[in-house]
Amino acid sequence: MVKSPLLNKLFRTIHSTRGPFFGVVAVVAVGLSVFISMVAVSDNLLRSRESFYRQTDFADLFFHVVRAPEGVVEKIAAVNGVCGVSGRIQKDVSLFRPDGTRATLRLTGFRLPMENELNRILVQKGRLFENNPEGGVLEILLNPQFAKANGLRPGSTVSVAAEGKEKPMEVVGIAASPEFVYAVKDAASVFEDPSGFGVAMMSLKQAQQILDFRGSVNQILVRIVPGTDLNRLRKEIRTILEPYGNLADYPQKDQISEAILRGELEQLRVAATFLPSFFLGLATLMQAVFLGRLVKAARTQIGLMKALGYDNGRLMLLYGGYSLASSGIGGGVGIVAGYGLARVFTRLYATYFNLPRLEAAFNPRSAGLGLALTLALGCLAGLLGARFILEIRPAEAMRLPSPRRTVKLFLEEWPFVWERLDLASRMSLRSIFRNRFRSAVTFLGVLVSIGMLVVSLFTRDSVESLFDRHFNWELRYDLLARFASPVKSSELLNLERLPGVLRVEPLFELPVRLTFRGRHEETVVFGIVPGQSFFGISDHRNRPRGLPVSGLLLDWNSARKLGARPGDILEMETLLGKGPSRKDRLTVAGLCRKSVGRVSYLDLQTLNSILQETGLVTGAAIKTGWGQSLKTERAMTGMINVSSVISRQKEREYMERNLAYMNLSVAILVAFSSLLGLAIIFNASALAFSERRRDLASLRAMGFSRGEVAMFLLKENLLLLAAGTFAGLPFGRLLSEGYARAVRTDLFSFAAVVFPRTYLLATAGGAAFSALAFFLGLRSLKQLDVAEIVKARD
Amino acid sequence: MPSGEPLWKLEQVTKTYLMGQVLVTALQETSLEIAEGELMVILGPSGSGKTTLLNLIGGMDVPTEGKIFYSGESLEKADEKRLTAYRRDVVGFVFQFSNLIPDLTALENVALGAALTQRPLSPEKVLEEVGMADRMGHFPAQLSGGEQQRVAIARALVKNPRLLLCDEPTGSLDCSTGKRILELLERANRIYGTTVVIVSHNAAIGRMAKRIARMSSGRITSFSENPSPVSPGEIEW
Repeated sequence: MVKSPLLNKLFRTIHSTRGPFFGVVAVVAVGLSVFISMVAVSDNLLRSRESFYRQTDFADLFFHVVRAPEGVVEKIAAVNGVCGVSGRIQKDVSLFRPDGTRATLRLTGFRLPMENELNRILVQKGRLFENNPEGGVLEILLNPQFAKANGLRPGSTVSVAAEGKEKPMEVVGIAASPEFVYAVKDAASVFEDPSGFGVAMMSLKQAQQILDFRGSVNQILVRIVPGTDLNRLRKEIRTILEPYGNLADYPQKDQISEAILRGELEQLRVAATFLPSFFLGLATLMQAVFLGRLVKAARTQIGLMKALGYDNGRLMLLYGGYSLASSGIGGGVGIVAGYGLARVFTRLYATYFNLPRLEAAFNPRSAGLGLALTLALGCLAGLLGARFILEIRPAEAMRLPSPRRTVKLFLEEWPFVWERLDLASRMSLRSIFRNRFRSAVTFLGVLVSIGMLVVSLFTRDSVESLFDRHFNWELRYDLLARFASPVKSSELLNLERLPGVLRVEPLFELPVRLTFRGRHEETVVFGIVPGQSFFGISDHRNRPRGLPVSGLLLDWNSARKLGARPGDILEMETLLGKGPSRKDRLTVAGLCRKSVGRVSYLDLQTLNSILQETGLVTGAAIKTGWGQSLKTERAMTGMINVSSVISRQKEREYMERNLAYMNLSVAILVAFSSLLGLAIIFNASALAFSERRRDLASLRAMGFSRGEVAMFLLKENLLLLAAGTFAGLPFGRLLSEGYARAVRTDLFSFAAVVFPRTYLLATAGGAAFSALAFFLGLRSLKQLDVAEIVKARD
Repeated sequence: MPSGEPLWKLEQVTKTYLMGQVLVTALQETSLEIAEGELMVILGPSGSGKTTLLNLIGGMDVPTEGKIFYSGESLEKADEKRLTAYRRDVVGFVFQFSNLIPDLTALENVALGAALTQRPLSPEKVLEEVGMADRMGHFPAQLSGGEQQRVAIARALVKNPRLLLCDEPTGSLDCSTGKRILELLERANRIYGTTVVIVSHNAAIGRMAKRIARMSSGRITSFSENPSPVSPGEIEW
């Protein structure tokens, strides 16, 4: 069968322009693979989250109280709109590790049988705990990250301090819980090492026994009838729980693990729209420009085909087919590469998020959507590029084309500038302004790829600067010890006597509910002493400041949520969980901002007087001698009332070790941005070369060397490259800010920090692109048949 | 044979090209001598090897066999660098299609040629001489075919070359414009003493030269002397 001659021509055109063709294919493939991978990862996460939450019946509302009788569960179940209630106990205890250090274990009690309970768990290894195990052994299940980090498995025994007594517990299994998909202690501990915080799941009965909670619970989980007014229900349940010491209540979306997971999904959503739109948009423009040039170069042939009787439609189809082919191939490669990437990212997510069914599944929806999008853009590029076909008249196309029209530039009106330019620069400037669309695409391409290089690298800068700020400025202690319950500050003397300790400062971490003009905000207030030196405090503009003489130094994020400003008076309700809840009115003395977590500050003495106590503390910040912190930490082993010890150094080391995900995405983004830059420069050089073949051959015939002619060619691209790079740096900064704003959460104050190093690296990228353009020009010049071109018509 | 000592000498030059899978012989065992200050016309039908011969003399190409000497120096084994220097310092080309740079004005196109050599002529003056004084600031797109060709001649002349090679310089022009172009070439030969070699398929042009070479099928078939060359203005075709 004879193939259509037009189809043959299409294949041959692709073959003869394979360099720029595959340049476009690469950019389409990159754009689509980013899109596919992000959508696929986000779909995988969403799907496994939904199925996990459904399987385990994850609660809609959470209520924390000091202590409530188990019977309250029935009362709440009777409330209109409630379709499921579970009561349970949850409390943090200390786990002693064999090396003398300790970890925090969140003991959570589950009623057995579990079928009708909310927030059920999924046993991944071993077996479920029992209500009455043989020999009264305390049986627990652990979350996989903590078990792995501490080398614990079913059959291991751990030692836990509960209610002042050391108790051995047996690990009988590993389990996943919907509220610990991302296991983290609280909003301020997002950076903590998983080996330092774990979840221990046990039977409610055993938990009640060891925590001295017989017949009582301290948490109520509620599932609501869909469509119920959440706020009304919250208010109603709060009233029922009022006599039992309301500590906190929040909906599912504010539950910490869910909030972190949602933040991650939001980041993926932003990345899935933000990045591919640049790549696909640029690929479309590149295709349109290149196709336009192809059509113009084939003017005579098109005229001839028109003379033979081919209509505009068939010729448009021929040239439009060129861009459809590049979109189709790019789309195919993008889908395959996108799934490859999705597998890598999903595997990486699986190490952070404990979602039992998190796996990379092929998603026909995203593949279909991506392919349809690239083909639609291919059509658009085809129409844009091939529109010149309509302008070609057969009779005119047969005649020799007149020299390209050039007009004087505005710059020529300023002889003092214009006359200083050499001829190559004048040629380049005129050519840039004559081919405005083509120049604009090259400029935009360089601008975007440099901008993307800045964005790719800025995440590292920002995280480094966030780490630096958090670990070197905001936290200056070596160890933070927390007590199981508030103690007199004189107890700190015991800490001061420990080996290696240089200085100890008291701290009271008080959970509170702040109310201002009907708005509520639950947060933590740090009670510290004036003149303390272990907590670096900065105002909302990140300028260092001290503790105010009186009043509350309110966290910036909380202030924003409450709509409060300095000078306003807030109502503060303490949610300590021990002793009666107190209410007081406090003036906002100023605003403060922390890079990780939300904390407000109050003078320790004022805090004590609000609690109607004197000299109470819940923890201590400790400075040790150089290299002594491990020794000090081990020395605290015997202190049962110390519930946890956090080492700043270990936290930092853990975070730095765990930047694999970030490094991988930075590397992929840098590779993609560079590929974009290279493809843009490659295509721009190919276009400039093919359009100027005759001019360049004439220069060579006149006696200009290859290097000199390559410089002529480079100058035009160089001007666009320099302009694109110059504009790309601030553009990158803007993109970084936009990106930081888009992914900022209540937990992270992610500021867009761009180090000069990043600008330098991005500029070096621009220089590398220029060098590439020069060598591409030189290579093409070597293949230029000067004698043939100068004598030919066109 | 030229009267003076030949400055360019081609001995038994052959040039073959591989076009696809076919070996094409464009020039066969051709010998030619050109004296300094000479005005020579090479005539022949299309495909006879005129342009190939011109390209070899101009250092645009090297022969497959045979020798080419310029001022006693051998060119056939010269590398790309040497050939570029030769084209830069010795040769000026005028093509059938002016091949001007569209992004440069007439004056800038000529200045581009001037920038290549140590002792160029003044671009303005050369443009004046070719009758383009009032069109210096125009771009090629704003000039007629004849004007473009005049600028191309000025661009070749401004380098003050020893040899001006013209490949069908009137090929794309009407008769009267073509005559004015030939007058310019004749003037360059007479006033500056530039050696001029014109190749053309138009036999009438031969009347302006003292010596005419005729080519056919890749060979010079004859040389003829013209004791009384006429001014280009008197030629009709």
